[in-house]
Amino acid sequence: MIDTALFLLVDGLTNGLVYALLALSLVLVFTVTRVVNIAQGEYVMLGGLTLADLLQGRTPGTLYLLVGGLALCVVLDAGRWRRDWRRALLLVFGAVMAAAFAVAITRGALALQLPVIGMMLVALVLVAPLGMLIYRFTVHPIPNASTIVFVIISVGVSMSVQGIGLLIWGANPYPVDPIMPGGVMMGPVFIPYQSFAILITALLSMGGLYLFSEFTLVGKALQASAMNRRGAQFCGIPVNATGALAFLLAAAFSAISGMLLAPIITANYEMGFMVGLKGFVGGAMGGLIDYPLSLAGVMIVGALESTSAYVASAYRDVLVFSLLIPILLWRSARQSGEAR
Amino acid sequence: MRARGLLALAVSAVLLIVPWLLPSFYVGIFAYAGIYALVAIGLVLLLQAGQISLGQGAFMGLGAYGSALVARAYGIDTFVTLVLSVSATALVAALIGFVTLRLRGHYLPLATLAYGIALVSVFTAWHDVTGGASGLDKIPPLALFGLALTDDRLYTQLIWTIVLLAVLGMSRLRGSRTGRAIATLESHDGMARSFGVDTTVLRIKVFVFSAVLAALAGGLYVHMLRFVSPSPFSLMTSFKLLIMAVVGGPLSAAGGVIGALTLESAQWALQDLLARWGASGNLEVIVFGVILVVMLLKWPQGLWPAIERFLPKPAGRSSGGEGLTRTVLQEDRQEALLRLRDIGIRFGGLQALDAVDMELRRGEFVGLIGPNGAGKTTLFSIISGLQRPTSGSVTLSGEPLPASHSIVRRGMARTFQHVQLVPELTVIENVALGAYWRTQAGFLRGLFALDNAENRRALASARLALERVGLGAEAGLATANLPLGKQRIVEIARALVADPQILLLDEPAAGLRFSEKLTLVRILRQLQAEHVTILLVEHDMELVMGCVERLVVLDRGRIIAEGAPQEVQANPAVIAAYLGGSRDKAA
Amino acid sequence: MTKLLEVANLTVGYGAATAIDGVSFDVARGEFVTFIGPNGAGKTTLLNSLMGVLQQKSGTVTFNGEELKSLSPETRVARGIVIVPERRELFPGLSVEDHLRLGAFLLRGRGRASMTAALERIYALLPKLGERRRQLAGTLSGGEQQMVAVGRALMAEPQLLMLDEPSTGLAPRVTEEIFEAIDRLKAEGMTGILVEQNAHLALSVADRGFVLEVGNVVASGPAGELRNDPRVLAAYIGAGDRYRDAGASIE
Repeated sequence: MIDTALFLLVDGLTNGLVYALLALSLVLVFTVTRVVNIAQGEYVMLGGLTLADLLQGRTPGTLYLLVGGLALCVVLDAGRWRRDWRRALLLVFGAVMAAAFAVAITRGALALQLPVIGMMLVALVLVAPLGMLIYRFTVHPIPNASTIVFVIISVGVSMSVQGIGLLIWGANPYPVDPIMPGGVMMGPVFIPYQSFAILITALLSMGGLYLFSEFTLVGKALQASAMNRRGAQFCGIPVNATGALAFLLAAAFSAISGMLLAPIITANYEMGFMVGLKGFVGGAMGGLIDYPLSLAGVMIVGALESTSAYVASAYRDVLVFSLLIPILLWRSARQSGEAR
Repeated sequence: MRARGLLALAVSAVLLIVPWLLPSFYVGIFAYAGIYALVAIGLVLLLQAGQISLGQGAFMGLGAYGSALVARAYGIDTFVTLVLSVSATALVAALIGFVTLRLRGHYLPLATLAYGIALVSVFTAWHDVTGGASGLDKIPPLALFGLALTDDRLYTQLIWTIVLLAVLGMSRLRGSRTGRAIATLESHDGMARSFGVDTTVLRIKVFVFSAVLAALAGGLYVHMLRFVSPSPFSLMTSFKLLIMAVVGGPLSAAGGVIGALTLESAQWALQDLLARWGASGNLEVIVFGVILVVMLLKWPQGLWPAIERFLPKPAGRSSGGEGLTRTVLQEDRQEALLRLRDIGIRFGGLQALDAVDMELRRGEFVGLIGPNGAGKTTLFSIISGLQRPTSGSVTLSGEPLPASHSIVRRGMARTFQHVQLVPELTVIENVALGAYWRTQAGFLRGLFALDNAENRRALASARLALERVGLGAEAGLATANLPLGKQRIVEIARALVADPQILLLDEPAAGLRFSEKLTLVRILRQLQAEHVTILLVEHDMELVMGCVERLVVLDRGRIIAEGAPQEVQANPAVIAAYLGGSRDKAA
Repeated sequence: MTKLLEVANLTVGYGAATAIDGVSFDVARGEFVTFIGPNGAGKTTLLNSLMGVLQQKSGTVTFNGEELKSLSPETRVARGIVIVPERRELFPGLSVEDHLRLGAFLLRGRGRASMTAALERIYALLPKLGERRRQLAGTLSGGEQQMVAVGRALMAEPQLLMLDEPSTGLAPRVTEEIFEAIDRLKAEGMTGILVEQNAHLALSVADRGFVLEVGNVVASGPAGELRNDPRVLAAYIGAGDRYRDAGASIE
């Protein structure tokens, strides 16, 4: 009995921690840009599959995606050519350098056959900028749009990116090596090293984000843009850049969680979506604005998932998602209470 | 018959003949387009009401499973099971709507996502009953009066007949009392409530209606396919439906139809293309996602406005004849209509209003003025019922102020500091909103066009009010094209249609040019001559001095002066309040 | 004296409304001008337009010889135009010192010593801020919040400081402190535009004044002369009977 309980606890904790990184991403994006990013889970997928490719010695399709995105960015900003050719040249130069850097790193990593951690970093370099590009294409043009418009847009992004995942990697699952195979027996429960890796990464990410936000001026500027965009503008803070930064960091966190998750559930093009939604349920507990509460939320989701997987597995998803509605009602009531 | 009506008839005829003209493979696609169009029409109505749903697929599923399972298990006539299933879904939707529609902002879409997934997961999980992920076959076909509808072409014709009826109903609804109210839901909630619209209940009605259409579509789907499984009702379907509504545009039900046709044809064409290139899987979603994003960035109103430009203009509903009965106003200076006793309100640590005593007598024209930050806006929202004071009382004709959407019934109508006219409605339709509380026709009567007589009278009242304020010629215009001065007068006309005892005017001169202000003053004086009781909050002093009989001056939350304009102008306390004390006070 | 800011025929509005109708004026380096007038006169609209928050419908604004056109607010801060907004626009979850540091965001490259020195200067000017440097802005009183907004603006080392109704909602004593600070800034040579409803207060600190009434300048001149100008009172309280002969019938 205790064994089972412990097992469920560990399982729930591990699940929860993976979702934690996702909840972190969601709150970061929402607070800074007011976008409810339904597409956030797709970076999980991109992270996992990119890592899978790199570990198997293949050039990941993500590289082409990145280069293509950079090219599209240059094309869209070509309107500035007429006004300021110096800036335009700078833009093209920057894009080319970035693309070249990405290609070089990928080639280098594949040639050197880096260990898992090294490949994870390379995958991060390839996936995280995609977040910034998506911000540029979808939010930057209409920064003052309503929440509903942003929700619909993120639905579109989610569909497209998932489809692109299918295009690049097909429907097959890809095995991904854990950072370190095997595990350790703690009492009656077997804990894989990967779970420790997840724990450490989650703690480092949350700690890192906290330190960045609280102890650097740029981190404070990010917080400021989230609290009052107009006020941030009056300080000279470039609010478009802070939005892009938020998207970049969020994509990075989500990609990392995908790379950590992939050895456990095997990477495939659909993995991001459900993870993203579970992260939403947790994030909703914090109303998408409160970090600690969101983390508590994902832990609850993780625990619920493992217990219901054990008890009544077919209804696991039903339970988790039905939980979302009372949480939203509670948050909404609390928020309007505060507003008064 | 009008040009637009004839065109609609022609298009309908074509759509109904199409199933017979297409090769059998395409008939299926056309049928699916019709089924999705039906759901999209409901989704368009939701978007018009400022709501969004990522869970329409789940309602389709409820309608489908409900009808399919009962018919299959108990052999009941599928026509009956379809009706039962749709009704059951309506009840479920009412419950869900009641619970979730109080959610604001970004919480609502998340909630629709939640039940969208949860419901479909139930379909998969409850496999004893539903057959789980692999589904159930041997679903009986749709049977009408014992005759089974198995011919694909006939079925498709039925589907499209229902779609066209839905579009017709929507178009009727649009011109009705409920339709006008629905147009206010997205961004004019407060204004709608001030004219008697119970916005919460209306939102639920819209939500239930869209669920009904989705359930009906689901039922039609399942009895055509004769097979039911969870996958056609997944989140991806809900997303696709959203794209259809966005592509067609939220402005018109016809937009939903266009969106469905466009997307279904595009999907088929893309799948064909992809198959030829040897690619497998649902790659067309990439294109759909991009289309969705691009549409929202560039053409958020969808394709419909571009199409509508080439169509003949729709004829408005008729507004001739007599209006609704008007109360004759008497002059009776003695009766105090509005009484404020010792009003106080605190925000956190700040006492924004303190010991405010005020009276408004029948037939009076009173102005409320004061420097910035004096509390005029706060006092005005207390008077108009939007805020409750922390102390003191407000009575209207001797009784306390009721809930916000009941105030207009008791005879108080208002205008707004930032003009609250619905851009999607014409001038006369906006003004007719004022008559909401004086009329009854609800959602169903509007849908089935059983409200003609009452609607005509409401519109007639609106027309008469417009003529009363000198804007009779502008009745059929789009409000966006009117200059601000005329927009403000339209607001006054709308308030007049509510047949008020008291007219509350909130800074009606703000942003107006001098000539527009002159017109405003003329109208106000005329209303005064007709014994309308008016309370005016304004900043333009010349204007206020030139109209009102009595002034009440507020400063720092208290009344500092009251009386005729000339007296108040000369009052040193008032002058000091406006110009400020000097800095040379020795501590 | 060089003209720091030149505004020619500025017209600004929201949608169909026109809030400012063809206003022209200039500000010389080291001058402190004020715009006074009742609410709805367009004073805040003027500053919002100069700050890039609102698009102008027509007219030109030239700062330091450069036409501002459609530059974003954050870019204007980089050019040296800084505003203390009417609603303060603070960050409720951040401390007083955070606000000041963020005010100097664009100057962060200068190093820690420079930042510390700048902070000390502000704390010397507004001692109440020094007492509360760790306090969260959301918990401050109205007057303290106003001081934070002023301090934050000053940290950006503005060439042109714009103050939007700094006395709104403040008790007289606090208003005193704020205006004493403004006096000191002026003595140090700061160029400024002060928008105020409180005409006496504004005219006691400014060099020149403009009276705005519903989007037009109806009077202007040295502050000392304006103080006794009857047109000022008329703008607020209304003197003549413009509408006397308006009549009551609709044509």
